Amino acid sequence: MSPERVSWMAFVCVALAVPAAATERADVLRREIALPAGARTVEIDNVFGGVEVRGGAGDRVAVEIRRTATARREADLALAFDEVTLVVDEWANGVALVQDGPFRCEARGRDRRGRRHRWGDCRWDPDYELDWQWTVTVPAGVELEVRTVNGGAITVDGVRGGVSAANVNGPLRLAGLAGEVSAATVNGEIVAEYAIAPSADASFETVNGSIEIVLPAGSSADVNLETMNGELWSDFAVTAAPRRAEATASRRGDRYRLDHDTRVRIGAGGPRFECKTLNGDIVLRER
Amino acid sequence: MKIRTAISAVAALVVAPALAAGERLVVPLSDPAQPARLEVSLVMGSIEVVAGKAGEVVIEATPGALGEHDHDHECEDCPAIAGRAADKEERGRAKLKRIPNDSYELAAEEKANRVTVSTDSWARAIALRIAVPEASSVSLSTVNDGDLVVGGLSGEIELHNTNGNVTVRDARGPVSANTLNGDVTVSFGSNIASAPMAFSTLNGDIDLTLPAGARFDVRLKSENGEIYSDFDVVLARNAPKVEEERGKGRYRVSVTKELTGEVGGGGPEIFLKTFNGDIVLRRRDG
Repeated sequence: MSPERVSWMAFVCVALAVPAAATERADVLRREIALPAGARTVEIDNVFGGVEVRGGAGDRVAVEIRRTATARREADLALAFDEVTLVVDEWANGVALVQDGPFRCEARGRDRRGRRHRWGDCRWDPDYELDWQWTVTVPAGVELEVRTVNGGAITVDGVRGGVSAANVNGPLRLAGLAGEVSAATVNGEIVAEYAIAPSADASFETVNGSIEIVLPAGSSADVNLETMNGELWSDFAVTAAPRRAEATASRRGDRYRLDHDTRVRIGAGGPRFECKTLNGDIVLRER
Repeated sequence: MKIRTAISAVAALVVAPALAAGERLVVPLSDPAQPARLEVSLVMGSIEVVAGKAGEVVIEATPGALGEHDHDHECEDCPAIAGRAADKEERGRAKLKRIPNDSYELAAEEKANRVTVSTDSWARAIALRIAVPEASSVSLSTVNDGDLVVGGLSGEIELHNTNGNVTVRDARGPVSANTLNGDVTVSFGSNIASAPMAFSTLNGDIDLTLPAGARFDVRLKSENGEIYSDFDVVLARNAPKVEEERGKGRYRVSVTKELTGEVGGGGPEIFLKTFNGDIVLRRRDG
C-alpha cells in the first residue's frame, strides 16, 4: 500500500469519526400516581418534547416518558439525565408533573413546592439536547392542564373535563372534548374535536397555523373568528351574530366602539368560542 | 357621566351575499340641543353625511368600497374560477362554505358634541354613511376608493379627497372642497354663507350651483380647461405683474391666467381652481 493511500484512508477515518462524536442516551421513565380522593386536576408542565394524554378509566395517573439526550460528550449526557428531572408534585386538589431543570428560570415567584425562583438566574446554555416524549393516561373526568414549549405536539384524547393546552413551537391536537377548552400555541395548527355538542366556552389561539374545530351535527355556539392572513370556512350554516358595542368614558371623551371581529352563530347559539390566528385559516367542521 | 349606548345590527345570512346591510353605531351627543361637529379621516373608502335626528350621530358602516364587486363570492359554476374548486379540494376545504372575512374596526369618540370617527380603513376600504343633526359642521377626508358626499347640512363643510369626487348638495353654510383626481360638485340652497369659500381640483371639473340672487367676488383659474358661467361676471382687469431684477436693469412682466371678477355687485370671495378640467358656474332659479 502506497503512503498516499494510507494517508487518504486515515483522512476518511478521521472524517467519519467527527460526526460519530455526538452520542445519544435514552431511557423510559415510568411513574404511576394514585390521585387523592376528590382530586380533580392534572397538570403537565413540560418544556422539551411532546406530550400525549389519554383519558382512561380509574383514578390513577400513569406516566411514561421516553427521555432522549444528545450530546458530544458522555459527561454532558450524564448531566442531562442528572439535572433535568421529573418532579411529581401532589397537592390537595391534584397532581402536577413537571419537567424540572436549570432552564426553569422564569420568575414565577414561589412555586407550588414553596421553592423560590430567583431573578436573573437564566444563563442556561447546555451542551446537550433534550427530548422527553410523554404518554400519560389520566382519569377521563379530570381538569387537564398541559404545556410544552419545544420539540413536539400536544395530543389530548378523551379527557372529558376541561382542557387547557399550551404549546409554543408545535401543534395542538385535541379530540374527545366535552368541557371548557383553552388552546394556545404560536407556531402550529390547532385541531379540536368535540365528543358532544359543546356547552362550555372555549378559546383557540395561534399565530402561525390554522384552526380547525370539529363539532357534532346539531351543535350550537357563538363563534368569534379572527384571522389576518387567512380564510374562514364552515360546514355549518352560520348566521351573522350581532356585533357588540362597547362604551367607555375617559377624559378625552366618551368612546363608542363596535368590536371588529367576525361573529357567527351556529345553530341556536350558546357557548362562546374565540378563534384567533394571524397566518392561517379557521375551519368549522360538522362531524 | 352616564353612557348611553345603542346598537343595532342586521343579522343577515352571512354565506349568502356578504353583509349587505351595514351595522350601526349610535353616538348620543352631550348636549342634544346643539348640533355636532363631525370629523372623519379615511385612507380607503367613502363617506356620505346626511341630515338626521337631533341629539345623536348615527354611523353606518359597510365593509368594502361602495359598488365594488365582491371578488370573493362563491360561484362554483363560474368558468373563470373553476380552478378554485380544485384548489379547495387540495386544501381540504371541499364542501365547506366560505364565511367572508371582512371584519372591520369602527369607533367614535364624543366630547362636547365633537364626534371623531376612527376605522381601520388603512387596512381595508369602508363605506360610511353618517346622519348628523342638520346644523352640524363636518370635516371629512379620504384618499382612495371613495367619494365624499354631504347633503342638506347648514353647518360648515370642509372636504378633502385625493382620488375621488367631492359632492355637496343643498349647502347653506360655508363650504371648502378639494380633491386631486376627481370632480368637485357643489350646490347651494336658497342663499350662500357670507364667508370666503374655495373649491379646487387638479384633474377634474368644478361645477358650482349658486342661488340666482347670490352676490360674491370670484377668482377663477383653469390651466387647461374652459370656464362657463350662467352669471354675468364683471371681470376686473388684471394688472400685469412687473418685477425688476435688482440692479441689472432687467424687467420681468407677467400676467396670471387667473380671472377675478364680481357677481351681483360683489361679496365674499369664492375661489375656483383646476388644472385639467372645466369650471362651471350655474345659477339656480327658484
